[in-house]
Amino acid sequence: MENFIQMTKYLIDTARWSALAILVSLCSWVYAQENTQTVSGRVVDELGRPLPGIGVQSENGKNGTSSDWEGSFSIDVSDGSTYLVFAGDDYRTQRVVLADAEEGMEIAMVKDNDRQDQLVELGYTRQLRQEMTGAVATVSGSVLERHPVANLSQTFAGRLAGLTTQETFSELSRANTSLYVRGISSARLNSPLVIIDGIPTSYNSSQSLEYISANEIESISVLKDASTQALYGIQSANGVIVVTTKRGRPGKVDINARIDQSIQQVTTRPVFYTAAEYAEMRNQAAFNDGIENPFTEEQLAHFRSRDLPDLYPSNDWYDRFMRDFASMQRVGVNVTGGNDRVTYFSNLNFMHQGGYFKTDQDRYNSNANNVWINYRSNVDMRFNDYLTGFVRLSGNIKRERTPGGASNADVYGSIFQLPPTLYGPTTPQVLDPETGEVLDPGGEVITTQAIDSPTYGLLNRTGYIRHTVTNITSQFGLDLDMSFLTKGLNLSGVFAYQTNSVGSLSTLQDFERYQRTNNWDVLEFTKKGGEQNTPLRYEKGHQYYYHLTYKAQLDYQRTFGNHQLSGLGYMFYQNLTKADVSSPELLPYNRVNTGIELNYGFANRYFIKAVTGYSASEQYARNHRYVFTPAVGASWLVSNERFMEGSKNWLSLLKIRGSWGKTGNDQSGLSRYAYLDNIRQASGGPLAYLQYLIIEEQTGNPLIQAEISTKTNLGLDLGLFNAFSLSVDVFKERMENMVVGATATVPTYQGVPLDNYPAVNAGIFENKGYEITLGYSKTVNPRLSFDVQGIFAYTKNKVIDVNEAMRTEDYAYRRREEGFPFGQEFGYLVDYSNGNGFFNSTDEITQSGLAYGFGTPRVGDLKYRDLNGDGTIDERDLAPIGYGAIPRMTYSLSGGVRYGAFDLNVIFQGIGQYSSIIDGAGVWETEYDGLFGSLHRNAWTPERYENGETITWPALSTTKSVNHENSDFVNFDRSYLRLKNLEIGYTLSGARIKALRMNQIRFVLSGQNLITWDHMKTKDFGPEGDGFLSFPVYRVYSVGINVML
Amino acid sequence: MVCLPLLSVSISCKKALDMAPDGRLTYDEIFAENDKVGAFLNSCYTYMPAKGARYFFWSRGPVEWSDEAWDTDAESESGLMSGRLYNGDASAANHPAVNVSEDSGNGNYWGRYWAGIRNSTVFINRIDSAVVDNESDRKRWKAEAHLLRAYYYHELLKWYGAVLPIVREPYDFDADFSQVQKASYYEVTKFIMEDCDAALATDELPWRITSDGEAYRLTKAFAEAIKSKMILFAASPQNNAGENRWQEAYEVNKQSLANLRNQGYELYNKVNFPQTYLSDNAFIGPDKNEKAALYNEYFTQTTQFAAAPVDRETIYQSRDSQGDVWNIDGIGAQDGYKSGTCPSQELVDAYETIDGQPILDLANPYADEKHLQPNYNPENTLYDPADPYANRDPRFYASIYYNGSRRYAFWNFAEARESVENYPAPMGARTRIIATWAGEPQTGLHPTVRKATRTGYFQRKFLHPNSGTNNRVTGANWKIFRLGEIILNFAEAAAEAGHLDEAREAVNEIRSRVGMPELPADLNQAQLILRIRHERRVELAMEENRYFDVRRWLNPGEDLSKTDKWITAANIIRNGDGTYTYGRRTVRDVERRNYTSRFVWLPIPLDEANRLRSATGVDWQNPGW
Repeated sequence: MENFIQMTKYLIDTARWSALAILVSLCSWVYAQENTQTVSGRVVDELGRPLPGIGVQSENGKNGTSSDWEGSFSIDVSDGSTYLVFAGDDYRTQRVVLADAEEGMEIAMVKDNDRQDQLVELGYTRQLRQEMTGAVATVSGSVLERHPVANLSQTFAGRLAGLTTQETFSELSRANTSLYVRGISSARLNSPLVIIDGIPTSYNSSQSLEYISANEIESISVLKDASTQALYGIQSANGVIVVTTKRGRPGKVDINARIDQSIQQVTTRPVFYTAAEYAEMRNQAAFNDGIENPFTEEQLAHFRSRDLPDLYPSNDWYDRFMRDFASMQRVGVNVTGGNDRVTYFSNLNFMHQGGYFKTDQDRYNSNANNVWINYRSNVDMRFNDYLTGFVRLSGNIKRERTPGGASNADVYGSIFQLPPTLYGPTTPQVLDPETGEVLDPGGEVITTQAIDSPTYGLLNRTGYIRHTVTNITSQFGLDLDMSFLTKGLNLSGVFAYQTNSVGSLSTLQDFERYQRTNNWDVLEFTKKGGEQNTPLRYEKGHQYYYHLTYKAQLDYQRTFGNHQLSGLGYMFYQNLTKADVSSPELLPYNRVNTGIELNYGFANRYFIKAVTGYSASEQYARNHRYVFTPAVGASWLVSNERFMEGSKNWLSLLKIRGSWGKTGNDQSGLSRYAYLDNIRQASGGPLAYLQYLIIEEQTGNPLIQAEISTKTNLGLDLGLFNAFSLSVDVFKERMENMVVGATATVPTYQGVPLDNYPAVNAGIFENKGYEITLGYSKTVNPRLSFDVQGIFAYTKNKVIDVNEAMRTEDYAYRRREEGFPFGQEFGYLVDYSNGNGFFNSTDEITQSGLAYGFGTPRVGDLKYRDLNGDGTIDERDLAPIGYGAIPRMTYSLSGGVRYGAFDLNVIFQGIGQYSSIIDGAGVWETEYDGLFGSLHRNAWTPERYENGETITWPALSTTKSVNHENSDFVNFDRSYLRLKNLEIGYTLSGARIKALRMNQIRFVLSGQNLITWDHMKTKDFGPEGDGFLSFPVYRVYSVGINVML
Repeated sequence: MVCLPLLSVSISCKKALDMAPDGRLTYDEIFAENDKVGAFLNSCYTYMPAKGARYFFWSRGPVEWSDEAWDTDAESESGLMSGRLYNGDASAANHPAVNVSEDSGNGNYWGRYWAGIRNSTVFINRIDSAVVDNESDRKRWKAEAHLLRAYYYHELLKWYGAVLPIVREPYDFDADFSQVQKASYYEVTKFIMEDCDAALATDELPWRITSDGEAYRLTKAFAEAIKSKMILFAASPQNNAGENRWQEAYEVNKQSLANLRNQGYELYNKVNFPQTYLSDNAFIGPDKNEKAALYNEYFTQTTQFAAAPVDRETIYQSRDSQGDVWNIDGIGAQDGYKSGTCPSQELVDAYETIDGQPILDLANPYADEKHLQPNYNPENTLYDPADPYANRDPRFYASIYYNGSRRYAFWNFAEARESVENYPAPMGARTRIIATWAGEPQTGLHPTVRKATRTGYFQRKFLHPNSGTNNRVTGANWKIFRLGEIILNFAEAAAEAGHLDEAREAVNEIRSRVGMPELPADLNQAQLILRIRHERRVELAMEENRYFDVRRWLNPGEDLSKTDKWITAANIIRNGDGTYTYGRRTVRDVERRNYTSRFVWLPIPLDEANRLRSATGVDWQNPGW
């Protein structure tokens, strides 16, 4: 609270300053009006074609416009500037001295394939790429727009060197993607800090990020090294993703409207087994287990011959409940324009996601369905020569529908639980054979003993839930040019408010379950469980959080001859109230960050940067609350040296960069206020007469503090002929005070539950890697140009110390974490010495002399390797499998060709050195009434073995057997290469279109996730999937029209 | 210069990041206020387990992991506890008995009881100087803390054996753990008895809780029960380390039993609710047998706290109720859910005929490994394998639903034609014949269905005679200790120590309560011990004793192959004429794999074993793990 008062005081002070400044500047404004020069002309590209959208600004930045569709511009310069600056994406910035400007002059822009004049957004600041000392990957919104997907982070894969993406949940337009900047910096799967328009969204950033449409985005930058991250202090160690939305551009009003229609289709579909096949496999499994066959020969014969399809059905439940395609429609409109006083960018997007289930309920619709509207309005205002301000409003409103009884994902997963032999989905109508009278109307939902909630019931008999999700963000800022004090000084203040609310209105009902009797000769059903068919009822739920941010920042930027100097200092305060209602989560979360940055450049050749964050989190005791995160960086732009002058024509860029520094992390998996003991009194307890109870939870560690990761980066940028570019970065990160449990050497018998034991800053973690980006761009002739870009990134981490207790000598691997990458999986290794890895006969079992610690192997079971040679297979024989929790390699190859009115863009994207042990439903055949995937078709049987047939699975079981353990047999290689996106465009422009009062029309065909090449053992699910019960990745085909007015 | 104002602002924010007070306490604050001291004692009580049907997913845990019963969930939910145990799927890192769940205190014993021991120890160490309003409270609370520690140690010793250190003082966080040693079984037993004696020496601790206001507080009777049990266990072959401790076990038990009797503890000996247990609808036994009825009544009624209670047998009952046992651990078909505990053919074979003759030869009950060929006791003339449920011990009828028995309750289905004995009948409250022949759609033997029986029998010992969805009588609170057990503890210790007459007299008290004839007077010591063990199996059936008893009766290193490897079912075939053919079958074609010697004890959790090993340089783990 006190802090709040302080902040308020501070803001009031700022306001006072601003008021003063307004007065000062109002006086000077009148004065400044005096001499105005009007300049007009035309901007063209290297081939003389008009270039729209090039920004034209006065040197002092107070007057500006942009070129229109004919490349024409006209600007009134009144701020005393001496030259004009022409700048645009991908072009070298040009300066034209006003004194030399002629009426109708033509400015020829030169393509900048080295991107050195690109202004890179760094969160709280921006910097020309040529001045940068750090490692930053960027992508523009227009590139991301090519992907016909709803969730923003689905467009990132392969676009940003050093950003690892993992699509972890693939439900249509509700996908989740985990993002990692240069892998992970500590033994945890922490996500990077996301800064949207200068405001950190340190909670629920996926809500803020996922629902931004690509067409609102100007650029996305990924800050990868200490010199760019350190400013953000204890929020920085996991990397920073900076999202900058589009701003208004002075000049004529531009309207850009886009509409597209997509068809979405699964990329994988699990195998279907007929009832006969299923029954045979069940019998086989029962035979192997030594239990009674669930299906008799007679029943099998009926399933095979299909002579009594009513009694012996063979149902393809996937076909019954899933549509082949889903569809999505999107409409988006951008409007931008403005003048010297006000510029604005407004955007409105609408998205509709259609359902993918087949439902049969005529009283209500329970099919999955999402409708979103998101909007953004960025308005920048110039009050006078000194004071500017902005208002940025954005939000999204989502209405999502799911069935009442389960999430869409659970409904999807439930389909595969149903055996094909199941009659259904509902009980039949029974008529009196003589009178025709209805004896039983039927229509009750059928299930099995093992299945609690059958798909049909979930979809059609549980009602539906409608979630209304709103995310609203408002930012207000003032920016005072304090050049009346000293030139180049600037003070700004921002207040931001983010809120998220989720209202759920559930319209629910329950339904009766029926089970078929064991008598296959008749259709008879008995009721299962106590559920009743209930009428619809309502339920309501609500959740929210809000997030207040204040930021004040002082900037300085000035050039003295060859010396460029810039710096900033900022202070940021955050107050976040989450929806959680459990103590101690009731209290709002507070955070104070400050930071200072200084940049010095000499003669556009040498650049130095010094920066430090000084930041705090309430997580720590007062004495350990604040940490400094200093970093330094330097770069040498060799190609700007005089001695390189001669090679400028071919060596367009040569730059060497380096940085070193510290970054911090306060997301260490600690409970709140980790420095305090948490012992409290509650009412209740086992003995009523004592009335109260003492609850002991966390034991505090007063010494706990933020983790510090020290990062080193070395980079080289090379440009040849202004066509070929190469950028290489090598990095190393090391954390020496990682938060780890202290309990490795403390036995449980001392009595304090180890979960309550405090964590300590005693771990060590290391992460290393490199990134290579290669590009080539060529304009062959006015009709044909192309570009190609390749990205390869590698990251490998190692847990060095997590306070792990050493296992005894009889363990094959005495450590399971230290010395391995984070998330290293352990499992048994299959012994393939006999050729196939199975026990092919009882003799083989006997001869092996092996006992299993988790059951007894049968013939046809996996033979594991006895790594410690003690004759028993147990946890002592576990061995490391795979590469850790995240992929080590990410790579992509993208390119574009423009030929006349046609253009084609493509990206292939892949990951390497990644695998996971996948178990449970969707891999094991034992779940529910037997869940068979394509691997199980060729399970081990004596016949198959004797005939030398391929065997892809050990002997089937009905219950958990020794095969159902983590082992390299169920380690799935999840590396893949994917044709991620292909877009073909046809653009109409020129006079004919002009006649329609449009500037351009573009027709677009695009596809996402078109082809995947992987090494999965089964095609039942793709490399992202976690068994076939989870939603597969979708393939999308889209057709769209883009109109520029 | 630029940054100074910013830094000054941020420094003033230091306090703003402090936590607002939220009621956190320190130990010193707790022991400085009467109510909080009581609250701490209350938290020491939280580690008491619920037991009974409250093992994970309403299973009966050790009852189903011994030769007493088969758990239907072993097939229908094979990843839970029983399914994994029957497959031998257990390791120190992941043992189904402790790692699947610690619901209701049944699981994670190592972590749970050590936490309870630590809190009790903290309490014992601080209570003398704590602020307590009333001196008699101080003493009684301290005695209770001693008893809680004794109970938690006794549970650890039962499950894990002699791998425990003796902890008298709470450890500091920076304690040195390198010198800690495991104590022997006998040393731990003595430590437990020492705590019990401290409680028994406290005048303020009562023998019985006489009002609901003090419900579930510990008593001196509880102390006697722990002493009686632990000294018996310590003297048993598995645990006695070659020492003969039977005389001590006899003396301790004799004293405990005498003290309990002096304080009014006695066997439950009459039907108090005849309108229920002797009604036409109770069907406890073929006729209205009062002895069977009282036995069933005892286990299906929760003990009241009163000065002159109806139930004077129960020494301590768990505070947790046992849920809707009729649909989770009774006759699954009744409500369509699950049957849970299905008594084994072995348990059924253990019930004698009404003339007091065992059915099988007690020393060697089966001729074959798989228990398919019974060695009938040649002296038994009443038992007819073709009509096996006639003329049995009344406790059989009170404990087990068998083929042809009847139950009046709410049946949540209409009878199908295949249920020959019961067709036609609508859904509703009615009397149903429990037919358990293979193929009977509702209550018949079935290899996988959850609501069926695996063995041909259903548990009824803890099942109210007429409970159901229309009569929701939850299972009675679990009886953790009862006098019947103490009497049998004494009988066994006495017989082993050579006091045969006292032993026989004690057993006969148990038998006469249910109307069974006395044991023959001419039994030698070995025969008497066999009969006492047998009596224990029957009297304490499905009360979580058998699991521990078969283990302590083994010599160290032996396995459980005689008892636990093969479990059999009644293979009942319904003939065309409506008669039945009774056979035997193994429940599964493959053996249960939790019979090997490593299953005698639970493993110390793997991480803990590793920590102990690296701290002390000694392997603490139990053999085989």
